[in-house]
Amino acid sequence: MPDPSRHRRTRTADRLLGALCWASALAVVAVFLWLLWDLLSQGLSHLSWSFLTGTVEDAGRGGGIAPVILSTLLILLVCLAVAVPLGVGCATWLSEYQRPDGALAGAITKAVDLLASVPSIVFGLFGMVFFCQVLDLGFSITAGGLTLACMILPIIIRTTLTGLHSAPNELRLGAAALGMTRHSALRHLLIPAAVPGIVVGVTLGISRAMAETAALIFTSGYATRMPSSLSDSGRAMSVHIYDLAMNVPGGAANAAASAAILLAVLTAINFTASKLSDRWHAKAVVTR
Amino acid sequence: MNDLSLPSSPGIRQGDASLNPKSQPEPASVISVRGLQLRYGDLVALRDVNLEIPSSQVTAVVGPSGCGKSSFLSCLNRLTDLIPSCRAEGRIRFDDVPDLLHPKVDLLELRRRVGMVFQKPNPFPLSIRRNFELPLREHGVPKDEIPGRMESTLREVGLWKEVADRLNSGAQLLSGGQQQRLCIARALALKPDVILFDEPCSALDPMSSGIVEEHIAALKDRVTVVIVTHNLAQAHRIADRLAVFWVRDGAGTLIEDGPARRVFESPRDPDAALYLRGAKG
Amino acid sequence: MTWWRNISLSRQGTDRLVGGGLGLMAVISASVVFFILIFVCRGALPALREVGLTRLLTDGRWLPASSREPQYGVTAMLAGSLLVTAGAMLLATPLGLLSALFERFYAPRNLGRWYRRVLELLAGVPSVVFGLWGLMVLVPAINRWHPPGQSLLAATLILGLMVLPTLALTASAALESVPAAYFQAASALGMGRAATILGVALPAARTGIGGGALLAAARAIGETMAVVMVCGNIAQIPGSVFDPVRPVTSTIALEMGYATAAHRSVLFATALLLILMVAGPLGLAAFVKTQQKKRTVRHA
Ligand SMILES: Nc1ncnc2c1ncn2[C@@H]1O[C@H](COP(=O)(O)OP(=O)(O)OP(=O)(O)O)[C@@H](O)[C@H]1O
Ligand SMILES: [Mg+2]
Repeated sequence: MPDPSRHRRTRTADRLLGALCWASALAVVAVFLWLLWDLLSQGLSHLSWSFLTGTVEDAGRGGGIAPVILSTLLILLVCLAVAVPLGVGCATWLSEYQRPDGALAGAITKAVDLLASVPSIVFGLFGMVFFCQVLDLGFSITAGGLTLACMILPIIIRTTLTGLHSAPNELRLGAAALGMTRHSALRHLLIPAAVPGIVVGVTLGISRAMAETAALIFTSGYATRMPSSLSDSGRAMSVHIYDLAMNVPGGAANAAASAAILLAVLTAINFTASKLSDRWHAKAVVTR
Repeated sequence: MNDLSLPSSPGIRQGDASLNPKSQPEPASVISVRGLQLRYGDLVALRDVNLEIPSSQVTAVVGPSGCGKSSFLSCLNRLTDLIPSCRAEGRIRFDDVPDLLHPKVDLLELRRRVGMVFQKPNPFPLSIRRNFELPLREHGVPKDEIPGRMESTLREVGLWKEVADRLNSGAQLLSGGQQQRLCIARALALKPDVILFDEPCSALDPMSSGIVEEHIAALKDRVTVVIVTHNLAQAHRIADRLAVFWVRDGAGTLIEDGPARRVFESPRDPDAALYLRGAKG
Repeated sequence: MTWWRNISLSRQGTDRLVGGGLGLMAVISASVVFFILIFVCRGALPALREVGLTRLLTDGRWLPASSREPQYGVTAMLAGSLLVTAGAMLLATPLGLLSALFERFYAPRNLGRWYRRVLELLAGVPSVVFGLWGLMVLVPAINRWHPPGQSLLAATLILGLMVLPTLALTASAALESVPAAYFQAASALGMGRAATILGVALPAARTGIGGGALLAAARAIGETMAVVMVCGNIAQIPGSVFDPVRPVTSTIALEMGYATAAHRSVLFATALLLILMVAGPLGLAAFVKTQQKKRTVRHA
């Protein structure tokens, strides 16, 4: 039975909630654009080819960021070289060699989850004590990379696990019924099936590692020289931005320029990761 | 329990023709199962199964859903080992292997000699050629022998003409029936003594199902076939021997087995009789 | 081929080797977190033994480098961490929730997708960039309004902005997994959109949304860079939102570089406190999740 006043109340509530939603969405987008605009307007004027290829001068106020870029890449390289094999191996063992309800597998999964929740500054402290001092690596690119490797390990493990779990069980049964060994089933069938997951994990790991600052301040250090080996100290992009903004009066413009570059690279990486995982899901649906 | 008087000793391979002169001579059994019991954790899936599987014949295993037919098959190639909670007890002699449930049996070789084809076709997501290369290389077949084996087994399942020009394309692009025949060919390529089929036609359309069925029936000159099927008409068409499983006291067990025609026409167990009546009506 | 070889699938030589190698990798991966705990505890031990937990919590001020009479009161820093986090959550929770509702229920299809892209981009912005922007833009703005600018307010705003996408994306995922049948039932009963959202969708998704919020809170407590650049870094209990504060993470980042002896050990002790503070919301999230699982199992 029609009740006009009730009807009106419903309509008002709908409108009100709708308006609130639109308003908050607009606010978020506006702030995002504001942030982007500031970074680009301050940074773009300083961006040039010589900025990318020049050495750091006057504590970063002048010159370019070539050594910083190189250090960032080297740190990333060390990080991935350690984290990817370790993470993929760990995930493979958890998924293919252990019963999912087994005690040891459960404990290891818990430990990895715990690792994922450690704040990055604590990774920095740990890296400083363990890699720099106990293992005597000093402030170095190696120490920074190893610290970041600990940090992105859970990401690699989780995505690899997802990849392996998405490999149909028929593959394992089929391989066993043909008398294939477990490691050859792994090598030829299961790991290839998990590759999309691993790739997504690696991209996510790269983006997390490149964005990280706190874990690097005390491990790879601040040196602005061109690194000549992995045992040199080297300043990562994010550390460079932090140092310019906090400790170098007059460094804001170059900090903004570096931030614009970092943001562009990270956006490209994240975009790739989301495209890859989209494609992967779509493909999984089609082949099933 | 059953009408087999075949001795289980591996030494005697001649069958029981001399003991039972009225019936047809029984061929030597390639697999003989004695007192098999299978448990998943606390659940007893099979209890006291005794069955002789004669070589070069088609043995059909039938019975209602959940009575342990698939579980029985996976005992024969020890695929049960892949399920952590699963325990099999009893003795299963296979050819010259006194007890294939023994922990020290070479599983890889056992699974080469006892092939298996599943309900859902499971080609690897690789090219047709790789589907053969992978297991054959694994079992040490020399590289130059592989194309020959692949071709001959693909011919045997009537697939060669259909795929000869697309060996390098994905096996998963084939139709369901073609995929299932590919899986049969892949199992055959390992030169097994026995092939186990677990409802190989039930995921296929009637047309492909008929084709696959023909090829299975034709295999028995080369290998011993054990096939689980829900399709009693199919069992009627291709089986030489029939084994009927049933759930008794909460566990699956074998209630009747023997030559297919005898079991179909005059089953001794009342439950089996009831079940098999569906085949005629 | 010989038949009675002493091998089986899992025991075969190479299989055993590969399995052992992978197992070793798994154990190494799992031990990282224990190494972290051990080394942080080891660093904190002298402080806990010589300074003592009571002094850490009762000392009035934070003067760790003073040579005559060092004081190690961490209460102001704990308060700083909690205030900044609470403020950020207060800001981000309603905005994030409304954002998720917008994306799921109010935005036209394509716009919703674009909005999601924006949220994902925002989630990918490194914290140091948020901090830089706060320092360049937000702090001067606040300074014009109410000096000094570097303040609890600035840290709250930046941190809130930082965790907002996490909140919005997890809430949106939770709303996505509400069964379509609920919405059909609500429409069939002639319920309006707002009533459906408030009465059906949000309650059905509340565990997921709550889990996302706890995750965001843990992230906010542990965040360093975005905060250290805008909070003013004075260890005090703020009198107003315009006063500078100094959370635990900032203290570690600023002082570890030069700290020695007792000071250094106290910093490790604060890191331990930080871990405990982060473990709070995460433990709660895990607990709620297992409770939820138990309930669904019982219902099934
Ligand atoms: N992996 C497993 N874990 C626990 N129990 C199982 C497992 N596989 C089978 N079972 C149980 O063992 C019993 C026999 O199952 P099985 O699959 O062998 O029956 P089936 O005769 O093949 O049935 P269907 O005709 O439906 O294929 C069932 O009660 C089933 O629930
Ligand atoms: Mg079955």
